Amino acid sequence: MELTPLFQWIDTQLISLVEWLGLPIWFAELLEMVLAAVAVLLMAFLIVLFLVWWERKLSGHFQQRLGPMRTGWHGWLQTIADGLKLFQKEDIIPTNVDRKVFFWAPVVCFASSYAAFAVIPWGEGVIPTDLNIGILYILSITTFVVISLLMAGWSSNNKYALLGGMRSAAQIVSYEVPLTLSVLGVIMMTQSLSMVAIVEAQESVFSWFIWRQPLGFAIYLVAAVAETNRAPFDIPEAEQELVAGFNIEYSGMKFAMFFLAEFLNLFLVSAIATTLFLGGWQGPFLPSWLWFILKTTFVIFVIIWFKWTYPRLRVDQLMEFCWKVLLPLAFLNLIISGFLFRG
Amino acid sequence: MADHDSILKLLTERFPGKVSALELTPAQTAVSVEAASIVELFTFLVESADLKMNYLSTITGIDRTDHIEIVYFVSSLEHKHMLTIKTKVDRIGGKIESIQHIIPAANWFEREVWELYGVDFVNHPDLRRFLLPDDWDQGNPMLRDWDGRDFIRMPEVQ
Amino acid sequence: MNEATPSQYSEEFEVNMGPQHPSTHGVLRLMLRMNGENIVRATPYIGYLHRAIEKICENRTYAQCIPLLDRFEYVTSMASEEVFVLATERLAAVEVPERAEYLRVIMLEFNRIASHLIFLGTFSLDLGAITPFLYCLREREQIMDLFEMTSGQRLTYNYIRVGGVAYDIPEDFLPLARKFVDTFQHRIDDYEAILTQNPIFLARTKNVGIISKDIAVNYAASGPVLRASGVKWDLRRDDPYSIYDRFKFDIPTGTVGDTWDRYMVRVQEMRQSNEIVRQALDQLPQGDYKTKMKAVFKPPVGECYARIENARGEMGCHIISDGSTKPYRVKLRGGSFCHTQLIPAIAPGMMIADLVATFASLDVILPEVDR
Repeated sequence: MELTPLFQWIDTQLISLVEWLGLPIWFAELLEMVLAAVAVLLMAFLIVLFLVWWERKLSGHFQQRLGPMRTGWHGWLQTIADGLKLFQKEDIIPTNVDRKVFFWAPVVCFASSYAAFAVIPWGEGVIPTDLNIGILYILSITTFVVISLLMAGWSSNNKYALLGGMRSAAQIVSYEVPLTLSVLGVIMMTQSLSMVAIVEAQESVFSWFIWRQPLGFAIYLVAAVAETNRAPFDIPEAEQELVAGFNIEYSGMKFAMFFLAEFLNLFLVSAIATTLFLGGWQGPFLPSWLWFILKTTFVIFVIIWFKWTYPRLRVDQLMEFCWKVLLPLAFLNLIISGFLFRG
Repeated sequence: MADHDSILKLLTERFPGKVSALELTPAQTAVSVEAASIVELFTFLVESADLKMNYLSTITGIDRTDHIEIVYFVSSLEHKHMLTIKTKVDRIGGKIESIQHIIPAANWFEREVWELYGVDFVNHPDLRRFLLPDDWDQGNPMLRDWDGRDFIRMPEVQ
Repeated sequence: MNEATPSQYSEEFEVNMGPQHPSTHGVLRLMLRMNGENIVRATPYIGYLHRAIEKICENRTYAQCIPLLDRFEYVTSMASEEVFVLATERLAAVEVPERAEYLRVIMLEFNRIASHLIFLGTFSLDLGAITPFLYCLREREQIMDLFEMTSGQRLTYNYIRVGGVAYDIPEDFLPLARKFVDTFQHRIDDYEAILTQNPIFLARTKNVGIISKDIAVNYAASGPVLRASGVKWDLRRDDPYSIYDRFKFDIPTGTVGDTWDRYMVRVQEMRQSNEIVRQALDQLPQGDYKTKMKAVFKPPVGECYARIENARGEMGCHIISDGSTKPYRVKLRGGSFCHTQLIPAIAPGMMIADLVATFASLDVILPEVDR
């Protein structure tokens, strides 16, 4: 069941509606954009609801317990209950914080991850907008997360938050480099920055870039885990050292925004991994969007698996690993791909 | 492993008139030493090759109502022997030399005795409030006749 | 603080860690002077859990002291009972029946295993690995069940009494205990599989928080901390109490005294304790589990210092009796007290993450420090 006919139907309906109202045709395009944005936002919320529940269930079973069980079947309503609780919470703004920056930090954080969803190819023809520089757009827009974390850490007027913010800034900026370099290998082979073009370059299972760029995939995965601040690279919010890191002073909806952004980022990096290395929506029998979701969920599963298995690295070891191991490997990968697949 | 008698012999020869034996119970023996020569004694205990007693289990105080007894439990991990050393200081304004420059572990032990018994440890670098709250104003609670606001003495069981 | 000169881009700052902080294991407060991520000076502040146990003991009869002492070191309550009872028994020359001695050893060693399991769990938790914690608690739960079966309590047992133990073990204790002993050695292999050779774990623990032999002895470190520094000193062997001279066991030691050594020493000790329990279960004689005591217990005038090897090092109890029903003075000594004192000596130059790992490896619990 492909979704393309549905979109075409919505498209024609909108155009006829606009014509009936006697408005110019660009108005229909505007309406479409708004609709797409709302659809993506809803999708994002759904994803986070699912991911939070899924991580709790998975971690529960990794640890020989059950996880949430009481709210709904196997606790599937638990995240909704938690979300409602966060909505109701008092929004505490401590005295002595830099109020403006404190307010905007979670907004920037959420907005940057949300904006990146604009170019995610959910399925064949299911992409909010097929930018010709899609992957470049994602890499640059997600960098805003660093700024938001720094804002949060600095404005909270708390030493733990500051340490957390500084740590995450250093970490994300550093890991951005091997991440981008590992993506470059794929871009060299497809000769395009468009997400759709990259997916279309991996038609059969054997042409998936994971086979042609295995090192690139490994580097991407490690760097991506670090980008999302998840264990074993979760030093910015290392609970046992910094209590909660940059979001220590946040509560209620502001905290929920950070939380939302964190899981959106998790989905985002997994979606990029799927698109770039695992053939995106391509697959037999099932509809394309389902294939995409399945593959992405698998990557998320692996990342969650990391988190519940490994201890945390120390901040200097983390930097060393990035600059002394990942970066040289990424360059090596780039050079090898350059030689092997020269046009 | 030297037994208690030979340690005692060694100490009484080295510090004539200052160290004497105490028999407390069959299970517990101790030596008594003058408060003034405690540093001298510990320097000897740590440096002597036969004793090498540099492992300080704890320092504690006992309020004997007319004086305060400071008790040191010291042992040697190498020779596996142990010695209990007792010394007396005045109950009010008692003073004794600190031994934390010989055995660093004594630092906190002495701080505790200072706070709970009011014994002053001379040359101790860090006599600050320790176990009790910062705004404590009810004296030294481990003294036998101490009477706190909420302290109720239980009757003797017959 | 000095005024920042143009060449000086960073200045030191103070971070207050605790008394409410996830990794201070209770209510220790550390004042950290930091230079970026590096610690310049660490000053511990204790006393947040001071309950004046020593003072209250002066005001209670000997039997009433025992449940109070459960709160002295509540992770190994059996040991804090044992040390007090041991001192009292030596003071009053009370004979303890054979079976009671064996039961005590079984309980003490089970409690040591339970305590080391807590260490293993919280230690890996402090390093960021969350899963081992729940694995450790799963096994600890079985030990707690055995204790509950025997004493009715899961944490503060009030089980070891002057002249024996409070109750004999129930019938189904022995098969369950044997089953636990047999499975537990494989469980330790599981824990080791998830931690011991994990490269991230090694990077976080090897050569971190080194406590040299000299520092360990001078600061009166004891138990696993001292043994990890390479000193083979175990009161169960070097100052035998109870019936520990009847069992065969090794004393694992470390070489460098780093965090990894302390972890490894404790893991090996769990294996040894398991063996001791196995031997004790095999040799357990029939007979009385307590001697008949007088209704009002009055030990003779005198004093006694008893020390035992607890999971956290030397635990000592100095009892002074004036011949009445209440002790004249009780002094308690816990290993954690000295290990907390070690922090200012070893912290300078560490990163904050290393301090967390080192502190967790010292396995300090605060009620033992504050009493």
